[in-house]
Amino acid sequence: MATFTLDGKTVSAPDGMNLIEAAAANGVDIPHYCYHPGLSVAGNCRMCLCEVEGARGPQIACSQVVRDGLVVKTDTALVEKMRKGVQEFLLLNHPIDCPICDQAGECRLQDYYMSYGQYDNRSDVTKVQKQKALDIGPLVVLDQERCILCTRCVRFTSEVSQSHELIVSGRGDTSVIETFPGMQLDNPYSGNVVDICPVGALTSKDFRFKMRVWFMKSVKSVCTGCARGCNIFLDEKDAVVYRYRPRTNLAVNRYWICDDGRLSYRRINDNRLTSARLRGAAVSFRDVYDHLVGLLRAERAHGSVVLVASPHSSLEDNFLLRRLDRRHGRSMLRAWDASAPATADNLLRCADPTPNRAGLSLLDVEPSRASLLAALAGPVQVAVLMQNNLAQDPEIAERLRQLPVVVYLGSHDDETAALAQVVIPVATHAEKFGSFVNVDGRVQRFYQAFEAPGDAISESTLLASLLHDLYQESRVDDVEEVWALMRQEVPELATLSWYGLGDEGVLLESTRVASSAMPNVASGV
Amino acid sequence: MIMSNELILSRNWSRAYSWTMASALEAGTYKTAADALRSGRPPGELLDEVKRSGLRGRGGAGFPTGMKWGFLPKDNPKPRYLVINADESEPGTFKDRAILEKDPHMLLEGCILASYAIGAHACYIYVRGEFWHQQRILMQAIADAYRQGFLGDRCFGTDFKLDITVHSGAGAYICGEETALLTSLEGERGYPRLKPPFPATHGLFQCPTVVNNVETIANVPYIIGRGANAFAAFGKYEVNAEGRPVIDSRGTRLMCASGHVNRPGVSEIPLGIRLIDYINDYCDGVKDGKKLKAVIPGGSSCPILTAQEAEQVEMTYESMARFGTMFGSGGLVVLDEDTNMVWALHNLLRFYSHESCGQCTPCREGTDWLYKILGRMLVGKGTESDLAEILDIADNMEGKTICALAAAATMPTRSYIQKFREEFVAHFTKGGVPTDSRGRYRVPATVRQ
Repeated sequence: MATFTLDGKTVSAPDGMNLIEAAAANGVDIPHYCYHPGLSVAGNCRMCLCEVEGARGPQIACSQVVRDGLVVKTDTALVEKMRKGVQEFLLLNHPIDCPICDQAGECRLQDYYMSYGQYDNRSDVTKVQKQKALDIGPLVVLDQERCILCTRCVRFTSEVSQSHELIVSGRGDTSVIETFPGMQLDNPYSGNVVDICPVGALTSKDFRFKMRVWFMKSVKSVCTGCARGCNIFLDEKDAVVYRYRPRTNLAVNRYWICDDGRLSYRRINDNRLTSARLRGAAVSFRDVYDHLVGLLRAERAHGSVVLVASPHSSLEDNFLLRRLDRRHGRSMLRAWDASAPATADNLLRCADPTPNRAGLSLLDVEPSRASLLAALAGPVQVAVLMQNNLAQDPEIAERLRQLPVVVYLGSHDDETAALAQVVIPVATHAEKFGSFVNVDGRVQRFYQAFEAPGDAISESTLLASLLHDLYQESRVDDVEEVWALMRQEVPELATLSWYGLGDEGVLLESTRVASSAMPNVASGV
Repeated sequence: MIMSNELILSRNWSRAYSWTMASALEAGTYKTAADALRSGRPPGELLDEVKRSGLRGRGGAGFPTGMKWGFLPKDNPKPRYLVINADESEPGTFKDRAILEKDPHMLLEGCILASYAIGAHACYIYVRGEFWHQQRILMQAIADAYRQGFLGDRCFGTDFKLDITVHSGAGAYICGEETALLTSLEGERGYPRLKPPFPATHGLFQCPTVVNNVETIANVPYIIGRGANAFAAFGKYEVNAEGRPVIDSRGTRLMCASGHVNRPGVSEIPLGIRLIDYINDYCDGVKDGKKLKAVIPGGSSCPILTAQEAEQVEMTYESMARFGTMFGSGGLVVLDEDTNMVWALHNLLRFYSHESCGQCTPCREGTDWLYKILGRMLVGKGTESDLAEILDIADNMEGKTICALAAAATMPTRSYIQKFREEFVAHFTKGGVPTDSRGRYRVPATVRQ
């Protein structure tokens, strides 16, 4: 640790830490545009200039490292003038088209103008004209006039995605960000440049003009696109999800998410099941629930129920399904996921397209297609499938069609919902609290953003009701109550609680999880 | 016209075919290097000789050369590089061009000695892109030196290995800034780098590197061959009562005279003479017998001197500093009494706004802003408040950027406005330079081009 002086106060920070981070850790915000903790230091925006005792002239905080005895001032008249000056320079050729700019509301130019600018415009010179609404890739639109040339995006493509599509061309105030001649900004991580762009120069084709950012509510969540479990903010308004944004978690996704994951929010909005169905006819939730209780009660003695756990469902949901199975007395719990493997790479993306496969391993449920097919071929009367479009697999679909009753607890109106006799709409991860165990064995929590649509209900709530009605268990209404049960039955979770997981999650020390987990390809991140 | 004063750098220039190997051998070039290498003189001795000579960098900043060499880390296992900055682009400066044209072998001998002194086995000469002709002369000289066995795996038959590579710039002023030059040499866009780390520890390819100007290195053979004292005999060196140097401007300099003088060109002067004497004696005075108005002493980035100041200032680093300006790169531009200062500043700012690399915000936006304001002033649409605004913008730029280009634009701007304020004000009241129907200004007859 280094002890240094910041605005007259003696504070400390780890030795060699960058001054912007060190000041932030001590409650002093140093404004900056070009600095990003996940990228190299460029030092070109000059917004973070501050006074350092003994240095020749003002120094930029982003390239200043903390050491013992450093004396830094960020609250002097000179610093105030420098910030105002830089802000004025940045806005000199900026179109100031906030009313039609998608970045408005989360734009650093706006924020810093209010905090550090507040000058009267004295520029009467004509602005430099550049290209607008440039289609530079499948996901991103570039407005060169709004750009402040901080080069975050250029550094991202050269350092993180290593695809080198973006460059600076021209010089002086006719410098522009461009794609390299003949190239498109087309890489699996291209959407991140929109997030790291501090102004409205790079906007998302998917999100632009759909919703003003100040109308939306952000919820901490976890991406369900693959087993990596990248941390995200889920931005929604009126139960419609508009976008995912990466949420910093240095142990998982650092500052980034992939484009597939970014667009996977659409699943929450589209093709949802909102009402229960009994043999194809819409029925009230009460009716279908009573029907299900009756079914399970009737089949209880025969042991002819197969419960199919899902790596798409949360740890809590699968746990309660296992509990129902154990109460049932015969081990007919199976698991499988029929979705196609995703594209993997050595940055974030995993081949496993499900968010909670390691969670199943933690519950000693091993996904196995053969075992599932064998169980379905047996003397089965009822199959209860949870959150899993198993009918994608023609062989499984065929077996399911031969069963007298298929119960589908599904969120989407998919092939499985089409063949199931009993369909109960359930919530997605946006509509409930819960947790997933990612590919590395890290258990991570997600928050509920809004209520599930229509009659949809979270699987946990449904399963807890079944446990109550069938086996007179005490009611479980809350994610923490499920965790209280899990603490008793899953040794790895014995000391944990849902709230205690924190924003970064907890890496489980478990051979069960580690053995099932995919090789840790994120180690290179 | 190029004058030769037969001092240090220009002593071979009057020879016939002075740029050829035959002429160089006849003049005794390469003898110093051959002796030093063959006799196995310790490199440290050469370094000390350069240190004692008091040679200061001739590129603009005037940093002591020996000290710069001494900054190379002793215990760094990486290779060391010598990089020669021949990206001479400062307006008004054309001295390195003269060396490349007239005596490239003196530079090459300097490269060999300097590389030997600092332990570099690769030397890059980064030549300004527009110096096409000079590059060909230089490359021929290098080829000849390889053929003679002066360069290559066994320089002068010794175990010392040295390769010299010429790299052509592509026409950016900023690539004369030493870190931008290194970035450009590596094949990247020529952006200046954040300092620290300095090139001495993290230079070319992140290895210890010395970057020196052409003229600086061309002085080295003389210093090594004839000793530091012979070099220091030129110029001016004075110490105060405590033994600290108050004037440390030893050796000679190549001065480039341009503008309103009767005899423009490069000439070598011993440091310490009066500036006005230089104009009168070396340049035959102000053109057409007009009165002197102002002098830019060392390239366009230097604050301007008025005629009165020019009468007093001496050609030393210290005297220039006392008058608030710099010796810079030796590009002396003389302005006569008819020069319109608003036009001159406008012209200057056009250059800096065009040459700003665009990396740092204040310089990228500020240089062009100043240029646009000057453009408006030039056509008579300025006000006095513009002058205050210009000074404030200059203050927001200077010292706030990675490299010194912003300061190179603002220092002269400030000096023009402070020293010729009445003229700027008179320019608005007179109505400025006339414009044509499209609003472009026409240079009036009183303003020479």
